[in-house]
Order: sequence, then structure tokens, then C-alpha cells
Amino acid sequence: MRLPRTYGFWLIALATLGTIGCATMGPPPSVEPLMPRRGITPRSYKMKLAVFNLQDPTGSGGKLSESVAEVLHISLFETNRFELMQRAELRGIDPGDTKRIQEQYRDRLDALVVGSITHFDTVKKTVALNVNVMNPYGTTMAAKHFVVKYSGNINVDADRDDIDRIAEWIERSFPKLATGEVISRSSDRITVNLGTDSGVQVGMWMLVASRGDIVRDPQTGEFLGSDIYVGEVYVVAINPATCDARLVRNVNKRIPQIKVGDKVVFK
Amino acid sequence: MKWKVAAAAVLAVLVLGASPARAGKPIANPYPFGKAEVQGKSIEYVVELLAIGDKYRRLCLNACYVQNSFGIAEHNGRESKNWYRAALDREPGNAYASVSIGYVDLILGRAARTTSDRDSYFSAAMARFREALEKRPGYGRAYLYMAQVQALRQEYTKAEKNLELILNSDIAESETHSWMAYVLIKTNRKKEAQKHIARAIELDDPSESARWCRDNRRRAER
Repeated sequence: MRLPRTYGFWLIALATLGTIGCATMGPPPSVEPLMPRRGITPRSYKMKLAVFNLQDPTGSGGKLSESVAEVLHISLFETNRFELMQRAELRGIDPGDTKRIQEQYRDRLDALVVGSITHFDTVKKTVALNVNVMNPYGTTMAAKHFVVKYSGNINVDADRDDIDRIAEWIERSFPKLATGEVISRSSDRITVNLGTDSGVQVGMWMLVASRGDIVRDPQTGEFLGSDIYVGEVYVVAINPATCDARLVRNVNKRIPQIKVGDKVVFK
Repeated sequence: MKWKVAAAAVLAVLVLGASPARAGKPIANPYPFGKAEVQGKSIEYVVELLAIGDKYRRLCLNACYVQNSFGIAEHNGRESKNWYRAALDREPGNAYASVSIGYVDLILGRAARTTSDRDSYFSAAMARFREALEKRPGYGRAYLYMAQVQALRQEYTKAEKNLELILNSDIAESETHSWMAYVLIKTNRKKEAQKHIARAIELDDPSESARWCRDNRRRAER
């Protein structure tokens, strides 16, 4: 029997294919370790607020400007949504000097609750208030007009239910939002994949989390988490599906090391 | 006269350093020093020592996989380990430095030509990973590299256990899935391996692990 002319070629081709097919599988690559990022200690894990005394341009509010702030502080604490700054330090501060307050508390607070008494009705025994929640960088995050009933003549007491209403409104204005992801980063700004459609507002604060060590329950061995916080940011611009946030320098005045793909948790 | 020339040459080599290629580069061996000098700048920060160690480690990897020269890889690996050790001197609790030394040993063990070399590098690497885990018990990378060494030593049960530890947390990347797939293929559990290969390709981070999975997908199906 005569072999075809291309016999040699086919023999080599078969041998090559056989060799490739039988070659043992090499192990996967061992990827280099990355230098771990230093975590930060955030100033708070929940949104941190301070309730300042109300301004009283009417001049007839008396102690109400302070007592409303005290009751609002307690009502906000009871919502369990916020972390609150002690009122003791805030009592002596002039509520009119907003700019100085912002500068002074920029590194310690996420939002300031300020307000003013706009009208005092002694017949109906009501006080009209403007309540404003603002970012320490000056952005108004929520503002509303309220009418609060009061009792008494000289030592006036504001109606607790009305103040609770203000606290509920503040809580509703800052719902706990879904977790997002950093999708781009340039100098001190990041873009996150959440926007107005997800309820994001300008001025909101977020914590940027990265994968850290595996944390397990020592008794059960159950996986508890692995996140480390690498930065704190606040929203400066929003679109329907994305938002831009600005990085806040850490205690050492360094810009945090944030990478694309890091997790973003709203405070 | 000739012996004078020879003596001068020996002296020059001793004074100027054994390798003229090192001129202008960071000093090769940081031991013993109180303050290392790199191009006139004093190094006081552990981070900088680690960064130089990382550079040498990359050269070591390059020598292993691109230049294919084990001699150069060993040299750069040694340099790299010296810098990491210097970092450990300043910060003994630095788990990254320990893991990096172990990683260099792992790479050299993979590239070693003799079984005895391979075994000694792998043993050294395992010791470093254990040390890193003592310093930082939750360090996922140390578990992953331990599993890699165990898989390369054909201790598949131990490797699988360490890989499962990482896979049960949310920090698993393509690399973990690729190694799990490798262990499962080696233990003839190809159906399970296919799932990990698919997951590694889906995650695609780091891309080289995903590429390995793409290349070996057929093998797991056969």
C-alpha cells in the first residue's frame, strides 16, 4: 500500500497534537501580594449631628431657643439613627455665627442642625421655626418650616410631640442607603455608582471600605467580616445613577488611598 | 610589577563593590546599617524599605518567568529578602514583610530545578507564612500562599482546607478560585472545579489567574 505524499506532515501534526493534549497542566500563577493599605478610624460610624441653640430674631422666645434644641437632641437620640455630639459644649455658642461654627466643627461633625424662631404667637401659644440641616462645608441638606405649640407663660415648655415630629422628619430625610462601589477616582474626588435614583443627596457622608483581614468568631469559627475603612467622603454632585464625592484628608493630612472597586457605605 | 597591578585590581574591586552594574543603584545589602542610604537620601520609613523590597521582588519574578534565569532570580530574591528583613528589624510585627519573604521563597521554589532546592524554598516559605499569621491571624494572603505551597507539594487536602477558609469569607478573588480549581482537578473532582473556573473568569481579578482558568477550562471538562 502506498502512503500519501503528505504522510510526513500528518504524522508530525498528530504527534504535536498528541503532545499538547497529554501535556500536564501547570499550576496557576502566584500573584504578588499588595502592600496593605492603612485603615483610618472614622470620626463616626453613624451620621454625626450636633443640635445648636435656635436663633431668635424675634427676641421674644426667651429660653425656648435652648429648650427646643435640648428636646430635639433627645428625640434625635431616640431614633437610634444618628450619633450626637454632647449638648454641654454647644450651649454657650452663638447660633448666629454659622460660618465660625462650620469651621470649628468641620473635623468633628457630619451635619449641623441649626434653626431660627421666625414667629412667636402668644395668643395661639405657637412658635414658628425654620429648621435647617447643613453639611459643615456649607451645603444645606434639608430645610423645613415647623409650627410648635408651647405651654406656660414665663417658663415656657415646647410641646414634645411637635419636636418629635421634627426629629422624625430629620430621620426620614437621611435614610440608610444601599452600599455602593467606587467606579472612578481622580485626585481628591471619587465617583460612586449610586445617585438620586437611590436617594443620595448632596452633602451626605460615606465611608470607603476595603477588604482587610478575615475576622472570625473565635468560638464558632464563623466569618464575621473583613472590611477596613480607608477613607471618608462627602457628596458634592449627583446624577440619576452616579454621584461625585470629595475625599477628606485623614488625621495625618494625607489623602486616603482609595481604589476603584472599593465599597462605599453611607453613614 | 604584575603582582602590584593585580593587587590594585583586587583592592579596587573590594572598594568599589563586586558588581559594577550596581553603581548608582540602591545599596545591595542593607546589613548592617543604622540608616540606609539610597542615592543620598536617608531611609527612615518602613514603607520605603518595603517598596525597595517590592522592586527587587518584581525583578526576581521577571527573571523567573521572562528571562528564564534562575541565577538572576536567586540574586534578586536575596536582595529583596534583605530589604524586607530590614523592614522587619524596624517593625517586627509587619506581616506584609514576612509574607513577602515567603512569597519570594515560593516563587524561587516554583522555579527551582532540583527537588532539594524546591523543598528547602517551600519549607522556608511555609515558615514565613506561619510567622505572618502569628502576627496577623486574619491575613488572607498568608492562607492563600500556604495553600499554594501545599498544592505544589501535592498536599491537596491541606491546601483545600486553607482555600476553603478564604472562600468562606468575602475576600476570595480569581486567584483563590483558580487554585481551588487546580486542587480539585488534581483530585479528580472536575465538576466542582468547573464551578470555580467559571467564577474565576467571571471575577477576572487578578487577570492572570482568570487567564489561567480560560486556558485550562477544557481540561476540567474532559
